[in-house]
Amino acid sequence: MAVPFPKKLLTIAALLAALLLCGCGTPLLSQRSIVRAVFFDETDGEARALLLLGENAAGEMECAQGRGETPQQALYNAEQNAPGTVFYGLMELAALPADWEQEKLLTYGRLLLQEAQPAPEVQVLLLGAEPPHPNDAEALYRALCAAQKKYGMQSSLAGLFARENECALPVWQGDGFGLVFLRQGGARISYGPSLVAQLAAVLCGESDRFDCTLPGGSAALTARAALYRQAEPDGTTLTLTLKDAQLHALASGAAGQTLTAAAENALQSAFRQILQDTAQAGGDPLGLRVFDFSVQGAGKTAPRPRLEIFWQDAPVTQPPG
Amino acid sequence: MPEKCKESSRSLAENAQFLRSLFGMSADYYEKELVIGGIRCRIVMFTGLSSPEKLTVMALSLLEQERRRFADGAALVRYLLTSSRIPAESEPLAKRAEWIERLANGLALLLVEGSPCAVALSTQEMPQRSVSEPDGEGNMHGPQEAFTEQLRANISLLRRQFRTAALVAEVHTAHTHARTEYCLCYDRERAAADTVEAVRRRLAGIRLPVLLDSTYFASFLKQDKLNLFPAAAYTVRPATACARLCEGKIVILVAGSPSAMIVPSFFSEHFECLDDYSSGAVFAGLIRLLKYLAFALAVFGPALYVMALSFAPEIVPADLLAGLARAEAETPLPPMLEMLSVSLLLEIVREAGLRAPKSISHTVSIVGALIIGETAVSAGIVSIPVLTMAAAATIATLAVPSLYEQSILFRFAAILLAGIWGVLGFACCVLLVTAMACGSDPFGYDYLYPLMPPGRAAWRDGFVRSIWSRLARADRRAP
Amino acid sequence: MKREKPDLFAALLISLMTNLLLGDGAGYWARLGLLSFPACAAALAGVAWLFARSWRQVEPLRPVRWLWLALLTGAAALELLRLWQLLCGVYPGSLTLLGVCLAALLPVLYLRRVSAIAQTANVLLTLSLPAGLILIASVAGGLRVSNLQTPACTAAAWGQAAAAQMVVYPELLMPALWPDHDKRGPHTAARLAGIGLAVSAGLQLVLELYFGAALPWQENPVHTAARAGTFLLFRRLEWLQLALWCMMVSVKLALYLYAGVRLLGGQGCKSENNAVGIKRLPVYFLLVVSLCFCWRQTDPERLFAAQNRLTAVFAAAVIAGGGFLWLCRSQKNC
Repeated sequence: MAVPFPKKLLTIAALLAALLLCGCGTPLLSQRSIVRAVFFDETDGEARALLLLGENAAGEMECAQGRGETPQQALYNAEQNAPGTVFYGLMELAALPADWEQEKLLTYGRLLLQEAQPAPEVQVLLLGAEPPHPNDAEALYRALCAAQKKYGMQSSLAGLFARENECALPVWQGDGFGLVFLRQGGARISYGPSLVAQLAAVLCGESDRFDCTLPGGSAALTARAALYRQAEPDGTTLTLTLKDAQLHALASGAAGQTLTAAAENALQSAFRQILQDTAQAGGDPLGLRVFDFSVQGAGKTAPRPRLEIFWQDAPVTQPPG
Repeated sequence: MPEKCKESSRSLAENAQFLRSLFGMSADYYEKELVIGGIRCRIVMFTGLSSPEKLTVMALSLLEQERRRFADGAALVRYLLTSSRIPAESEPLAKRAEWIERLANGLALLLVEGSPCAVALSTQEMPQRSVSEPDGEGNMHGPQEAFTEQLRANISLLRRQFRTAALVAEVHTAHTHARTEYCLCYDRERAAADTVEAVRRRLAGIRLPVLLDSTYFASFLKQDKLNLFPAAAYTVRPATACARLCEGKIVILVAGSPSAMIVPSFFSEHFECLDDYSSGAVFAGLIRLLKYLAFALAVFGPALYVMALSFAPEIVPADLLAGLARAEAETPLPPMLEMLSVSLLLEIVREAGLRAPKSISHTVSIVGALIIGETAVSAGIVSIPVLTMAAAATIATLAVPSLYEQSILFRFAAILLAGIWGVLGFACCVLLVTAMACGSDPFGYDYLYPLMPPGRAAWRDGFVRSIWSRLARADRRAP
Repeated sequence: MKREKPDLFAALLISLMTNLLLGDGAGYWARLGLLSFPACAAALAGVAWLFARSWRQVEPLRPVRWLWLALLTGAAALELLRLWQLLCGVYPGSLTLLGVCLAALLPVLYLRRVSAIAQTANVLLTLSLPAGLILIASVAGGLRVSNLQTPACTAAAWGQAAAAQMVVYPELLMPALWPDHDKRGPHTAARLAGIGLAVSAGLQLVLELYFGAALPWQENPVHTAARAGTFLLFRRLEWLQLALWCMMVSVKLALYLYAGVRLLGGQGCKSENNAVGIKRLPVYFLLVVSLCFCWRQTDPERLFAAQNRLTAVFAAAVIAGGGFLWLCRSQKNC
């Protein structure tokens, strides 16, 4: 049966009206404030959020700051102070103070997951220095981004929650990245910018390269790192493969083979230190539990893991310049 | 006397008067009385369609040389139809409707005193376009002939390529005011009999005021009138039509139209051309994939741009975003309206270029390029990114010209939906287009064959093309 | 080439996938899920088979058909509500509930024929497979074996995994509605259940590799993980995922409409390529949209849990009732 013409017209008109009205209309791109990074800190019991915004028409990065009694309030106030509608879709970085406990870090992490939409998977870093001033935020952001690329840091927001009651995060010290293991209840293990920190970051999956000086200052090591874990009855073996390795001698008299041996010794020593520190603190910061479980079973104490170092190509050694 | 001769009159004067009453006012109507074998006769013809010289040379001179005498008109008719060497049709024309039809087809009629039947003489000579290169459907290899407006000539072009007894060319007359003829061509061994019967029946049931092109049949052959995908494909190349006949398709030719309609038509055929089968398989496959990409770009490219800018800027790299934001800030319209306006403007320029006389069409191009490309951007009415995207989409549309109309319609719908509803609007449009294609089943065939469901056929001659030895093997295996 | 007996298996699979992919994916840990899914799939296939057999007995009873129709309509509305909530979470304020309903329901206009639904589902499946692989590849850097959890294999844990997997979705019961033809039979239910649970268990594995211990409290884990993906030209890929979800929901709605029409005693056709009449569409649209607006303030996950329970009870009732009727008829014949 054919629909009468007026009814048809009415249906089409209603459909068109619904079509036009039910899209809310989003702000124009030029009216958005693109957030590139967020810095949190707390002073005198008050939370502060500093949003670093994308480049404006003059090519400068602006800031929007907000304070509040709670982190939500601080973030909300910062959003209100932004020149346009805040857009988190291109946010890359979230920086938090390095002296915070794990629980507080998780609180702020949950805030980001909930409020910052449609946020990508941001990189979470800790700042060892004072919280940045709005005037310094852009320079700090660029330094952090450059350092992330240089040290291959991969510290995602999801990684903050992946382990039960513990996490590992890089700490920016101004001239390099350290690493901190945090555990629920306040336990923490901190490493300053050093081979130990970088090895710990590689073992946790937070990084994939080395760019540091060996202890004693004998050489500088740069290499890309790949970690392979193999669970065996007598313990898990961690095979550290170093690719495109370069060893730059810093002291005279050091030859190629000596440098390689020195690097291996330094790495093994760093590994022993990490194992000792993590055994004292408890937990499973290196993520070996599932590997031990697959061989040993539940409730068994796993033997001490081993580190094997494998040079994919012979490291390029350079004499002191 | 045969039954069919009863309708007309035996009187020559009456028959001639009947025709004179119909056509006497027309300047191209020609009639001449003459005597053949002692019997009074009258020749009638349209001088624009038939040639008096050919009549004289091929018919009348022959008859004069034979110097026979006939008892009556019936005897003369019998002789002309069965024993004479003149180019006459083998059946007498008893009905006056048949006389009119033959005259319209360019034949000359010989009315005979004492016989109600007329004899049709093949003396057609009408002005026609010669077989030339096709305007569209550019191909580097393969025959460079194109169909013309003459139905019989087109049939002969097909038969030259399809040199077997399996080719059937059924000529029918459409139910139009002008009684236009059309021809159903198919390979009786390969075409499905039920499909041929269905097409024949549908075409026979069509009532049109006028039939100037094969495309007029298209909407009658569609199952779902809401579906925008074409029910048939079209070609002006006899080689392409021949290839489709070999696949078991049906080719419909319409008198006065150089465009042949092919049914049933599949989606993948719009991305094929003769050069695909002349070039190497790898290159042909690459070009086909490019065409699919071009179609996707033409339909969804502008919508994706509008969606990204308005709803999901996180898709765009950060370095590009600042420039896009600046360009957007400098123009008065939001991205969706800007894209719609530019697309509409480009379509107006295209249409103007197509319809304008050749002498001024180059002016249209210059004006279009200057106004849209230069001054509108300088004045800040449109932004460069939008113009670039719209132009890219327009160019991409031309890579698949047979789906041009659909590309334009889908593009506008996609821009509208993505601009209003964002990501979900874009998804809605993609699914609408997909559902339209999937839901189309021309004469019971799957419109997306052989692309979906993906199988060997999709890789043999669908998304890409296999080498000829494999294609030939598959063809031999096919029922 | 000729379109004969279009098969709705792909559409059923797509519809089943929307339940698994858009839902709360934190039902169980991957290790338990992978070990338990074969048995659960077999059990689900058995339930579906029994239902199909019992349905033949109870089909003439109108209240039963109307009850199932109500369940399907409610499920359609819930699916739209879930899609809307997902969109609000990702692009707040971009589209109203009415817009979401229209965007998902408009393509149903062209999905009125069985062949259209079947072929569109094929296309979607073909698109989803590489899209899924691309999405997984784009987050490959974030997948860590060390995130895998080691839950104790207690009876309670097994029970929880089985309960999470043994959900009787309407898609498992729908094959009972299609008329007999070559491609329907117990294998349909077994394939559906098997593939569905295999995908679910595989997905849980990928999510656990990404989220680790945080998986249980993720609201939209699949979408949250997709935010981390980048791939060549596009910086972010979750818009692709959202677009795919919307298309899958549309196919699901079309399938539910077709099933509803069959329950109402819809158009019978020799060639099984039935078409839903266009005049039924406004009724369906209005009904589903109205339900959405009624339930917009309610938590869809709770409603889904209630719906799953109702579907399970309905299936059990049909099986019991069908068995009882079959026994009675056998007694009468004897």
